Amino acid sequence: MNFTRVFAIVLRQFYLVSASFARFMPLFIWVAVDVVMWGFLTRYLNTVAAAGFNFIPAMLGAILLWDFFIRIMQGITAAFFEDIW
Amino acid sequence: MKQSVLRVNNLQKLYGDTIAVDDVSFTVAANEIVGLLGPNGAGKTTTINMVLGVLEPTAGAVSINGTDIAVNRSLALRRTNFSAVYTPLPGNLTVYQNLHIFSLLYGVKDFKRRIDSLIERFDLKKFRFTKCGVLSSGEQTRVSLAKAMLNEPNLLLLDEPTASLDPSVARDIREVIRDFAVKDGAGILWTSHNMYEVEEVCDRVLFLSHGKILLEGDPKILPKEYGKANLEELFITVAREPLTLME
Repeated sequence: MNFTRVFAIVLRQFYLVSASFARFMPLFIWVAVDVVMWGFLTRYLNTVAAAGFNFIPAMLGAILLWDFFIRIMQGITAAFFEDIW
Repeated sequence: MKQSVLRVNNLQKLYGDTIAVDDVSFTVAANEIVGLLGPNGAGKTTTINMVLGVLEPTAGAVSINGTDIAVNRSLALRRTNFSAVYTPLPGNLTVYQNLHIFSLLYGVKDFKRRIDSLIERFDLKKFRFTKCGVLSSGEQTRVSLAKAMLNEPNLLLLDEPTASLDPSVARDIREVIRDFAVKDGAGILWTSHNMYEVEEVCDRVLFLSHGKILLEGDPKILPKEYGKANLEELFITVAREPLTLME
């Protein structure tokens, strides 16, 4: 593996994201929306769930992280498709 | 005799029963510009793609600077580059950003100096921070050629580099490429449908027809050898009546 080439690809994404508000904001906006939505859901589920290990917040944290990575993946894939198209 | 930078031996590409390239062999020497000519579908781009290792040949071998591309593609392509009008650089990055990223991909040492010298050479100073997507065809071609010269290639593959350019810009581009072959010692494989351009620029031409090399020679002499007034007439004969040239 050539790390200079890997860095080149990372730099390309950095150039794209840093130059475009439309690319930068969705990375955080959708995660923020998810935090609010799942936050309310967590509060509700905590009121109806049994006492003990609090599984629900742990699972919701994982979902949010997963969603964040999905947004990143979509951003990179869209940039890649733009190149090919 | 000049050293060959590209050696193609008995190259063949089959798509099912269709023969795209049929037993093609040729060489390109340092300082030499070789024109790869032929009608649409003759196998020019397929040949270039196999030279670049993008397409795997059905048979035959490609050797660049003495390295077989099937054995060590990375080494073979270290001093090789390619430019074509159908492969513009990403339009959402500026000229400098594109050249910077490609110089990293090619592992160019002292890339800042190299990029600056190419920006100067191709008269791109005022477009340094302009996105490539908003440049005109001629400007994009210049950026693409600057990219192609980043790794100081001794083999340059150009697939119709002046297509869609006006005659004035095309002449400037030809001069830069000619200069590159002479001063930097590069071998160039050039495809074009502009016979005037080929006659002016190429030291030698290869006519491809139905995947085979039909004719080879000096573009200034070849038409007379086959009783044609100029290269364009010879091209038309190759495209329409190739069998008459084989008699």
